Order: sequence, then C-alpha cells, then structure tokens
Amino acid sequence: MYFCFCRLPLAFVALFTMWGSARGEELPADQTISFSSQVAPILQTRCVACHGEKLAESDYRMDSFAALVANTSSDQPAVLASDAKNSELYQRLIHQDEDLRMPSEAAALPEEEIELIRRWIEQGAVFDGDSRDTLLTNLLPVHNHPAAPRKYRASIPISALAVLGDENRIYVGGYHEITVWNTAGELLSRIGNQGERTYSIEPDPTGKWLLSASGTPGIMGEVRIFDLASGKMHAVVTRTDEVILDAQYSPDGKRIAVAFPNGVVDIYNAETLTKEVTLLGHSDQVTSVHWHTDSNRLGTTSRDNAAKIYDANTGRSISTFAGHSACVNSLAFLDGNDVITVSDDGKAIIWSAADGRKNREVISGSMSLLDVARFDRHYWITSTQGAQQFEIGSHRRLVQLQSEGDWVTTVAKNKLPDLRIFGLHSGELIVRQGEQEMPRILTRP
Amino acid sequence: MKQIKVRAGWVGVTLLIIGFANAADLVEIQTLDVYPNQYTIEGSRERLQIIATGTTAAGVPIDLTSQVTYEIDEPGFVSVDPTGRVIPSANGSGVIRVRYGKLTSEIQLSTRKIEVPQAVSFDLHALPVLAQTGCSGGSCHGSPNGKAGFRLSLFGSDRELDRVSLTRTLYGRRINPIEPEKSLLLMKPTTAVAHQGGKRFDQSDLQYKLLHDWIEQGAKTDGEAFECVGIEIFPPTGRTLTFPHARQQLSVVANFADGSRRDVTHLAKYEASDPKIVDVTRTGLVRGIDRGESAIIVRYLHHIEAPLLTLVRNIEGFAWTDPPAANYVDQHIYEKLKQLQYLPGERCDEPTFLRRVYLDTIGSLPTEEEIDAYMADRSDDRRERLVDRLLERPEYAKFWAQKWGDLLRVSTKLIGNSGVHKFSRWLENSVASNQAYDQFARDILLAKGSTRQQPAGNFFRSAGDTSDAMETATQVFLGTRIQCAKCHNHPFERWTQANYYGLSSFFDRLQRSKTHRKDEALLWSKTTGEVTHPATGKITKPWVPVAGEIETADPDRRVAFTNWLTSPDNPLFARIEVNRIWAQLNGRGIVEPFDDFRDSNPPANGPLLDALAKDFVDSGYDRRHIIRTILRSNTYQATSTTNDFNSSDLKYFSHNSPRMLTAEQLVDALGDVTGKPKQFFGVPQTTKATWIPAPDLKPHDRGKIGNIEFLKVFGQPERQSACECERAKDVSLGQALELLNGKTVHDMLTAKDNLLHRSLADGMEPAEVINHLYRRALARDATKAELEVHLRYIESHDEMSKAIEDTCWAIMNRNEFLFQH
Repeated sequence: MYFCFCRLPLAFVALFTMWGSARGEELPADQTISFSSQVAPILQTRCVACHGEKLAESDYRMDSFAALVANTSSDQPAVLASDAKNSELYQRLIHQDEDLRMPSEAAALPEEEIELIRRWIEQGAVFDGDSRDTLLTNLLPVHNHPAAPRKYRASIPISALAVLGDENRIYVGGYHEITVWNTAGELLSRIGNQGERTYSIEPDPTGKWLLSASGTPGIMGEVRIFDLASGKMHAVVTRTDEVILDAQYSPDGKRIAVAFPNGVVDIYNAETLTKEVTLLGHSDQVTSVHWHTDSNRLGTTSRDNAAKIYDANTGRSISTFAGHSACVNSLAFLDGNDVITVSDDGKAIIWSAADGRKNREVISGSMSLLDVARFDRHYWITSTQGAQQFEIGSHRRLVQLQSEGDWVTTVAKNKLPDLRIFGLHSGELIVRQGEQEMPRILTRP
Repeated sequence: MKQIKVRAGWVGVTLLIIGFANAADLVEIQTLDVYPNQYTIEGSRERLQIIATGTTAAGVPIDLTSQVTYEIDEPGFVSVDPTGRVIPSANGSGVIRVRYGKLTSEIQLSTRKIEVPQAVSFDLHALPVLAQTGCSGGSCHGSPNGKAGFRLSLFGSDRELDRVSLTRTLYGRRINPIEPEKSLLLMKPTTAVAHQGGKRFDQSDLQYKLLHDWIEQGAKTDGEAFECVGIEIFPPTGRTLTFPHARQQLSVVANFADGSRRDVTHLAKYEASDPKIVDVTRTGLVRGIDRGESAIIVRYLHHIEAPLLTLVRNIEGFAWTDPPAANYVDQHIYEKLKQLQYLPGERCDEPTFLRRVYLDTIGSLPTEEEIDAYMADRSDDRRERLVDRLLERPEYAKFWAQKWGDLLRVSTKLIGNSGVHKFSRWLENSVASNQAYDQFARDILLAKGSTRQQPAGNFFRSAGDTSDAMETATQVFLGTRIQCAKCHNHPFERWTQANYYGLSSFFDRLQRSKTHRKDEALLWSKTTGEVTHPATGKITKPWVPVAGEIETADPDRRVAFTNWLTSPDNPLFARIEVNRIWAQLNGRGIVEPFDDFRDSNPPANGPLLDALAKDFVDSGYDRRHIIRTILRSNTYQATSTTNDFNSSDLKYFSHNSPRMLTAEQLVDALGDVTGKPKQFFGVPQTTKATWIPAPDLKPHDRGKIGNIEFLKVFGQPERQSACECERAKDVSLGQALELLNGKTVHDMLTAKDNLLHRSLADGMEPAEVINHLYRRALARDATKAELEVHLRYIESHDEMSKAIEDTCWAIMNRNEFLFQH
C-alpha cells in the first residue's frame, strides 16, 4: 500500500512534525541521514512497543542504538553497515511474506520511512548520539508540542491540580497545556508546550519553577520545567515512551523524583538535572511519588499493587507494603512511621514505613480510592464516589462529600489551611473554603 | 421515473464462465426470492442486509446476493451496494427491485429518522464493535487479566467493567475528547500507534466510524432503554451450499424487548466451528473451502446462534455404490456420506474384526484358542454372535467400569482405598447387570446415607463441594463444560453466569458428614439454603438447560434435577451417553470432543445422534443394546484402509480410524503376547490393567508404590477431572523410549519363564514360535514374507533365544500391534 504524506498516521504527524516536513519532499541523494533525529523517531513509533523493555518479541529490543545493532535470535546483527540489502532490519520492512514482514499484523511502513532507514544503513548506519545505550526516547530532539485549542470542544478529566501563590491561582492539567484559574472560575493564563495530558504540576520551593509530568498515552511521556513567571519552557528533565504520572521536587528543592511507566523511579539533581539515584523494585507503572518532609525518604505507589518506602540518598528499599490487591494510586506520610495508601481495591490502609506492617484499614469498600493528601492534622481521601476527610490519630471521619458518580480524581496538595480544591473526572473543580463549598468551576477554556 | 442501478458486474460474468466451462455447473435459476420482503430502517446509522436467493430446477437454493442488480424506484432515499447492503440517505419509502436475468423480486422499504443524527450507543454499537473486531476476545483484552494493562470483559459481558476501562481508568487515557481521532482506542487498532494485537480495522471501516463518533459524541455510557431479546439468522440452520456456488451471505436481525427489530449483520461477530470447511468474513459472507459441515457461530451482545451449513462438492469420478446397510446406523452414515460424496470402506477382514471387537468390548486381545474357535465358526452371523458373547463376559463389565471410573474420578486420593473398591465394584455390577442408564444416573445423583452402604454416593466425595458436584454432574450427564460460566458468561455458548449458579442450587443443600469410619461420609440434604449470584448478590432460582427455571417440590433439590435429567423429554441426557458409547467404539464422537455439547460444536451426523438417542430411550436406556447396535453396523466394521473417495474424510465415519491402544490395553497386550502379564499392587494377582479400579492404589499407604510409570507415560489419567481430555492421547518421546528399551518391555522379553523361552525350551521350531507370536499379537498368521525375514535374522545370530526376543520386540513395535485398526 502506498502512503502519501497526507495519509501518514496522525500520531506521527502530531508528535514528529519537525521531521515530517523533511520527509514530505524528495530527499536529496547526498543528504546525510541522522539516526537521532530521523531514524530513531520511526523506530520509536513503529517498533518499540513490541521490541522494547516490556515485550521484547523474539528477544530483540530496538529501544536503544546498542540493542538495535546487537545480534538477533538468528545470531546476526540486524543492521549491517552499508549493506541494507542484507540487513534484517531492512529486509523485514520490505518482506514479501506478510507473516515475516514487520510491523507484524499491520500495514507495511510508508515508503518514505523505509527509504530513510535504507539510506541510513547504506550511509554506514552511523550513530550520532552521545551514548549507544541511551533510550531512543531520550535521543529524539526536544520539540514543541502542538498548540492547545483556543476553545475545547469537550472538557477533559482533571489529571493534575495545584494551587500556588497567595492569590490562590489554580493550575490544572489541560490539553497540551496547563490552564491557570482563580477561585472565581476565571481563566487567568495558559502555559502551553505540554504533552497531551498533564499528570502532575509541582512548583519548586522557591516559587520560580514549575515542574510538570505529562505525556501522550501510548506514545510518549516527559517531565519538563517551566519558568513560572513567563510560562516558557526551561528544560526537559527526561523522556520516555509512555506517560509519566508523577514528578515531585524534594521539600528542600534540591532533587526531583520521577515515576516512570516501567516501574523505575529516578532521582535527579534539580540544578544540573543529572540522574543521581535509581530506585528499583516495582514491576509495573509507578503511579505516584511522595517525599517525606525530611527530604530523605521517598514513598512510591504502583500498578504492581505494591507501595514502597525508599532511602532517597542510597536508593535502598526500606519497606514494601504488599497488602493491596489492586493498583495503588497514592500515598501520604502521617505521624511518626505511619503511612497511608489508597488503591483500586477500595481500601485505604495505614502501615508502617519502617517495616511495611499493616496497622489498620481506614476504608474498605467497593469503590476505587484515587488520591490521598495530608493537611496538618487531617487527611482527605478521594474516590470514584466522592471525598472523605479523616482526623489524624483517631482516624475518625470528619466530612463526607458526594460526587454523584463523578470521580474525584485528585485533591490539590496546597499549604493554605482553609482552601481545599478537588478535581473531577468531568473536568470540574470543587472548591471548599473552610466548611463552605463554593460554586464549581468547569476548567474548559 | 428514473431508475438507479447498482451492478456487481464481474461476479455475474464469472458465474457465466464457470457455467460454460462445465456444463454440469450451468445454473438455471427458476425462482428468485429476497429476504426480507419488507423492512423499515430507523436511524441514519442503521443498515439492511438483503439476501437474494435463487432456486434451481432441482430445488437447490443458491445465494445470488452479490450477483443480482438492485434497482431503486424512488431515487435518493437509499443506496444499495453490490453486496446487498442498504444504506439510508433520506426519509422515504419505496421499492427495491432485485433482478437476476429475467427474474425479479421486490422489497418494500421505508426509512425513518434519517434526518436527525443518530447517536452511537455504547451498548448496541460500541461494545459489539469491540467484540466483533476481537478486542474483547479471550486471548486479548477480554482475558481475565486483560492485555498490556487494558482489560475488557469477555465479549462485552460486563458493561460496567468496560465503561470504567474505556472511559475512566487512568484519567480516561483511551479516549481523547478534544481530538477524537487521536484516541488510543482508535490509534491502536488501526496501528497508527504500534499495537501488539495488530491491525483490527481501517479508518475507512464502519467499526472505526462508530467508535470515533461515539467518542466525538462524548463517549456516553447511559444504558439503553430497551433490551435485546434475541437474534434471528437468515438463512436458518440447515442450508446446503454446493460448490462452485458455496457462498452465502448471512443476515442477522436483533429483536428488542420493545418489539423493534434492527439489522445487525454489520455488527455481529462470526466464527466458523470448522475453519477447514468454511471461512466467514466480518460482514457475514460465508465462503466454502471444503465439503463437510460447519456451524457459523454468530454473536451479537450476549446472544448466540449457530446455524449449520452443509457444503457439497461434486467429486470427479465419484459414483455412489449403494452399499447395503446393516441397520439404521449405516443408513444415517451412508446418507451423509452420499451427500458429501465419500465412499464408505468395505467391511474389514475377520482377523481385523476379531482383534478390534475384543479390544473394544473386553479391552484385551483374543487368545489363540479364541481365534481358532471363531475361525472355525462358519455361520453367517458369527460376528453378531461373537459380539453377543463378548458383551456377556465379566471382562466387559470390568473394562467399561474402568471407563466410568475415569469420568467419576474414582481414586484413593479423593475417596480412599475402600471407597475405590466399593465404588468400582458398584460400577462393575451396574455394567454387568446392564442396569438401565437412567437408574444408574439416579443412583449416583440421589445417593443418600452412608457411602459404605450406597457406594454410588462416593460420587459426592470425589466431587466434594457444590461447584464440583454441579460441574461434574453437568459434564458427565449433560456433556457441558460449564466451568467457564462460574466467573463470566461462557465464551462459546449461551451459558451465562446466572445459569451456573442456577444449576448449583440443586446441589447446594447436600451435606457430607464425616463418621467415625475412615473413607465414609453420610450424605443428607438440608431443607433450606439458596445460592446467590456473586455479581448481583441476588438469589438464583434453580435452573436447567432447555426447560429453564423449574419448580423443586422436594427440599432435596437433587430430586427435581434428576427427575428433569432422566425424563425421556430431556434431549440431552440420552444423546450424551450414546455419543460417549459411540466415541469409545469409534475413537471419535459424533460430537467431538464427546463431552463438549454446544450449538457451536455441531454433531458430524445429527440424524444418527438423534436416532441412537431415540433408540436408547425406547429401549429403556439399555446401554448394551446401543453397544451391540453400533458393533453390528457395517460402519463399525469398515476397514481402516482408505479408498480413493474417502481418504480425506476424518470426521464422517467413512472408514475406521486406527487409534493407539490405551495405556491399560497396551500393558495387557504386551503381557498376553509375552505370556508375562504385569503385576499390580493392591489388587489380586490375576488383575489386568484394564480392570484396575483406580490409578493410585496404595497397599498399606506405602508411598506411591502403586504408580506404574508405564501406564502414566501412555496416558493413564490421574482422575483429577471429569474431562475425558485427561486421558492423554498425544504420542510422546517417552512412549517411544518405553517401547524401545523401557523396563516393562525389557522385563517381559527377558523373563526366562516367558512364553518365548518356554516354547524354545520345549523344542518348538522358531517358525512356529514366530507364528504363535503373530497370532497372539495381531490375531493372524505370519505371512510367508514375514516369516522369511524373521528366520533370516534368527539364523544369522548365534544365540537363538536372544534372536527370538529381538523378533518379538520388533513385532511389539509395529504399528499393527500398537494400534487398534
């Protein structure tokens, strides 16, 4: 099947507009093909889902240059420099037998993409990145995301929420942007150049930077730092091939913890953005990371049904709580060694950060519990049916909010004593000033 | 009036070419019929599949849906594509004239509510699309753990789970409300983003359009006000397709509780029960591949129908020889073979029959004396009389009781040593006395009191809880593997989770109390107690297949179940048992696997199954009568040598299909040939392997001493499940090794007191020793050529006794010995 540029898959166009334009035209015969900026994007979109860390079909990975050129199961490297015809990588793209042609069970790649790969191999299969082991996602040039639509045709679920500054500015994860609202529901400003959805918004302690974890489901994930005053992007901390659900500054502002979709948590130096420690132990997507106020310990939750406490300085696992039977969504440090976690299994459980032993169940129900946050002497738990406030120590329930089937996806973890803001699946915000519930805000530009 | 023609020109031409190429295929259509004759399309997304059927002079229906022209007398309100699919474009009404040559037929059609955009329904459109395209299939996202973090319920059986997965989980990551076309739910199945499950549909497909528009309209999941109560398939079950016209477009119409009907041909999921016979496209077009029969399993929402199609091909040179039928078995088999153009095999020769029928009835080979006696009988009905004699022998009861032991899981692990002996003696007596099968079932299912006094009650010790008892009873007596429905609606059948718990309620009140004696339980029934559905928490009423919910007067609900089960009106009970008997005698069930009855697994010969079942009921559930009837048929007695016109048949019983001896038969046969029968623990010394009451007898609990490795290697079941599939039928390397140099074979061959060595010691000539070997192993004399080969080998060796051992070993490794044929 022949594809002209206008029929390139949408994802590709959306994500890699920078290279798209180059490919639409005839490639000059003498132009040198760049692995990082031209070949890697194709491999990342087309191949890595099945030949990456998670799946590695036929024990062959393509998510880094080193893996790509390593021996395949046929004991031959898939790429033979300057010999496309005998390189399995190229052969598999043009194979006449549909069972042997890649991508498996899908249409062949557009001719332009195959030609690019062929030319790159013929030109010597040169690697133009820094390290052959770098994941392709981190090789791709940083690029600008599509602009957010001026007006949304529908609202989107609130996946990230933060309240900053004395003037109660509410930062909400929008569509390819972060939208900023006041408590009266007025749109104040918009910070663009974000992945499709934003999953965490976090200011650094100085109030100068804004850290966001974002991504496009099934395609990419990123952590970016923005200048809070100007809304301009300052730096990209890291990138990967699936959305990143959380990234948090340590309370002292010196480090950044990032929750990766493959179960890893990395800790970066907030200044140099170099990786300092890697925390291993989760076997599935990390859903959230939480710094203890001492900036030494980090709590993590994961889709592997576990929650863990790490020593953030050494990367050592201090304790693991395996008492949940479904994805753990969030965690909060309470008094002493007490930690609370909430899960899709309907349970909110308090356990010890020292040894992972269970203390008590605060909630045991049939609805998924989505978020938990501590505020001074109490904590809030949100769920698919509402939100509940509990007192620390007695674990007595103080307040119960009903959301009529709308999921309360998150609660803003701000420091203001009287202001509680909840994000809903419908895109609305519930704003509570003291005991009083203010009119809901629909965060849809 | 302007006429719009839609023509599928090339198809017509192709037909014509075929027609000229082969005069026999020239089709002369006498009448043309359309389905439906009138219809109302309500809603812009609705479609109508027209089926045009021509009938030849011989009365054979041929699908002409893609060959006719469709003319619309009221232009602009609908269009018809060449495959007969009507797409509405405006409100109106008129006639679609369907034309084939000079023949015409008409459809009265009206369209309504076309001008208003029709919302895509989560229940009626989105979920069926996900089922149809395989997304929610059992090996993909419909598996209990989902795939790649995305879980759907199996074929959309749990809308709430699907609603959450699709629209809510992980902040609704699968749906992009701002730019619907960028939704993961669309990019994955079109492989715009790499998808392990491959490409499921294109952007141009209706499936894409429906999911896209559903997202664009806000991915609403409000329930539908009306409920689908069933689907109708056209043509109905039983259509015969003849090559080269072996194509059939199907039409599927769903009926709703509010009385409305809508065509869901484009939304239903199709699957062939036998993909070697037909394939079926996503749009419901069946295309023949080979002659034979296949059901088409059609699914829309939780409704399943499985119309049966028969495909017939004219085989060059085939002429029906009209072989005589010995009884109704042959009549039905031959009728099917004649239709499918397979020629039945000749009757097998006497040694073959003798060996075959011995193995099938008493489980072992005929002795030399028995061979001589049979061969000496020159009467015409000697086969019949042999069958009658064999069915009276005690070994027959022991051998067939062992088959029941497999099904009812008679093992010391589950019911203890004395339980095993009591239960298997009871089974043996039941077979020996030819107990009526309905009484047999009643004795088992209604057992009360001490299992020492009522050995049949051990059934409820093997099946030690409500689920187990229900599942085993359903599998054994209803031929249904209902286990799947414990957690979700059955993937291939209409069994629902509610059915599972409805059936369970018959067995839930039964109590099994311990007594002071080992291996004993007291069976009694509570007078109250209900089963609740785990998903709804509601009480499920006692329910049986076909009849539905039934009244249970006796507080011991097993009574109501068993009364229903053994009622002559129950179509399942007799069919399952005659099919099981058939499978044991012919190596393959009429329904295969023989304990897996469902619409989507049709019988290879429905009329035969019906006739056997009727005969079984009429005879008062006389099992021996059914065995005798089958053994007397020419079908059973057919040779395993194939002819030019039946070699490709593996399913319709045109010839005998050789099968390997079972583990127990093989051990006994080896023992008979060498004269050194294998000894077993925990049973009297003369006990044959085919009589052993349980595979795990342990004398005085001394570990696993009773486990004979040889039997395990050749597939003896552990009796851990009531599934016949537990008896392994695969050929393995272990089996080859056992036969080549395993201890069992080696010990038998080298024993100084075995028949070979004793004969040689008595001074018997090698040629004679060899011929005796042949008779014991193969029930025939050695041929001259065979004898020469063996003698040459023996002469070239110094040590005669070793050479004879080798010869015997060679014979025991021949397929003719290892197989029943």
